[in-house]
Amino acid sequence: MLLHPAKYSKRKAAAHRKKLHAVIWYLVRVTSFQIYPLGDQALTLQLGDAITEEVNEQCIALAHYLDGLHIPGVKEVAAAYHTVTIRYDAFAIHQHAHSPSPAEWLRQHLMQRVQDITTIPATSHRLMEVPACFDLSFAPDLEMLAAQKQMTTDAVVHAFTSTRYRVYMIGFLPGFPYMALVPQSIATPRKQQPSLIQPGSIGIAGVQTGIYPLQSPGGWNIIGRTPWRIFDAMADTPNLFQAGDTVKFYPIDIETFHQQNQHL
Amino acid sequence: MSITILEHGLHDSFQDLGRFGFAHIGINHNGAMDPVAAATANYLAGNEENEAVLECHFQAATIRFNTAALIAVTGADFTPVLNDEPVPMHTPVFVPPHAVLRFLHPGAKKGARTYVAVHGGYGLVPWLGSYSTNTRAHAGGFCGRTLRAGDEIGLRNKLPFTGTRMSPMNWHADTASMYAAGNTIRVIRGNEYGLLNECADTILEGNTFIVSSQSDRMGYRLNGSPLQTIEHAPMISSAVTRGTIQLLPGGQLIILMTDHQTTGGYPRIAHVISADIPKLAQTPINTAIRFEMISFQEAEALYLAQQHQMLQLRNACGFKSEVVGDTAR
Repeated sequence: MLLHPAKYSKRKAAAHRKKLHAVIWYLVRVTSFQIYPLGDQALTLQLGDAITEEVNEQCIALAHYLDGLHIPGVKEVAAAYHTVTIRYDAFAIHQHAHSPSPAEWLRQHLMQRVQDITTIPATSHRLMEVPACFDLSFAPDLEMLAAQKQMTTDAVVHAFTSTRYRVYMIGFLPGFPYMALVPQSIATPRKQQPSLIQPGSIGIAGVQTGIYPLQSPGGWNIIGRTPWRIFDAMADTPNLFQAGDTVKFYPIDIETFHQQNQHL
Repeated sequence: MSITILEHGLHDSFQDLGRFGFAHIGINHNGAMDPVAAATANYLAGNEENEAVLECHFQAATIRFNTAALIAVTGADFTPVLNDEPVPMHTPVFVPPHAVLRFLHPGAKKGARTYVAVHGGYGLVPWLGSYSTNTRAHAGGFCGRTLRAGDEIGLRNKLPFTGTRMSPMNWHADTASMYAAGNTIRVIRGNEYGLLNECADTILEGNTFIVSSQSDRMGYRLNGSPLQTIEHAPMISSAVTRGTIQLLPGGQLIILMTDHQTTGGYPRIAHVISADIPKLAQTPINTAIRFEMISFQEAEALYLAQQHQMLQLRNACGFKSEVVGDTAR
């Protein structure tokens, strides 16, 4: 699948238009955590019991740190809301460490490396201002959501776009940003029956909001669409968002959407 | 140097042992459903274990080899024939130019995926370091999709084979011991196992479950007695793995397989042990399975033992390949 040069430069232009704040560095103190096995070739570190910015920040920073250690046998390190998961090749660890239990060796190794540090630099943060069109043709669930909340659609859009969202993690689909917290006034559970959702669609599920990178069945309540392409398999950095970003949506009309449309 | 897909099958895709390192941007691992069969096919064909293989379900693709090749077919026995001559499974086989490989039968309820490796590998472009096909991202493998009739895929190696008939080697790999007999799948406890009520404990370890027709590379939906939890605590989404058994809201279970998403929000009741993933991958739809809970230590030991066997197989094939190389010349 080749990316046309014209579309690639459109993407670069979009990157310049985003307002990137300077990297914010601050020291994060890693607090205590639990470790549990996730099957027999992965370990999960859980740093908290709830979704909080502080715990999530620690997870993202810890994942970066552990990934950078290049521990033998470790295949992947990834943070989620309140956990960091390390997937490893048990046989590779066994061959490297000659340990009868690769999980035990890795657990001890991780504990040691984490205890050696008191603080780790947080990863960079960006503010992404994302155009979103709330025209009803892009927002199949907006009217129903507004009716349920006894609000006008304009009021729903206003509440949604007045809030800054943190990207807690990327998961579910390539490049899909899990963001929170949607204001209680418009927070709505997933739909019972999924529908087929178009790329760029912006949805609400509970207090989470997210953007679909690809066409996919899904149960999130779709209230708008961004013209930006949020996942491009062939780009050097395929994902537009990363965990730790702050996102704010601003409304655009349908003509502007078509001018800026990056979807194939 | 290429192959042409004359007829495509139900779901033919190129896979290696998976794409790791990108879960943090939501890119799932994909890879061969049965890693033992995939690696074995590669060893027999004189490749490294992580070379791309063609994974087929039944109905499988019909493939024409436009040039001579050395291949190996492993996994489920779908009765492969080359120009109507039976192809021995788990054996390196010289294929003459213009030969057509087809698969005749689904294999009498045994096995669900077959693998075709070719010496030197297929001419694919890696995506993020792997040849595995990611159909969601439309990337990896061959054009990020399953194969269609008319597709032509390059072969990297030119083989100086001048025969006009198929020529199998007179040795083969025996990996039967890596697929434990019977319909029991061994599992270890998941982090949310404690949420199950007493009844559910008994159901999980005592009952049979049917691999429903809604089962595929993403996951196996199981039909069986519903399980219930002692409390309803919505889970915060976190990582899942291949083999993770999730409890769905209706009380049914799903076993996540190779194309699973990187994270999930349903309770992780148990995990299929790595050593039983190949057996599970070869479990056809509508088969009944039961679970046996074992300790974490046992699970690790079983996987290490299996990998030791694979290493021995690799060494044996490596030695034999030298002989094959001489024969080819």
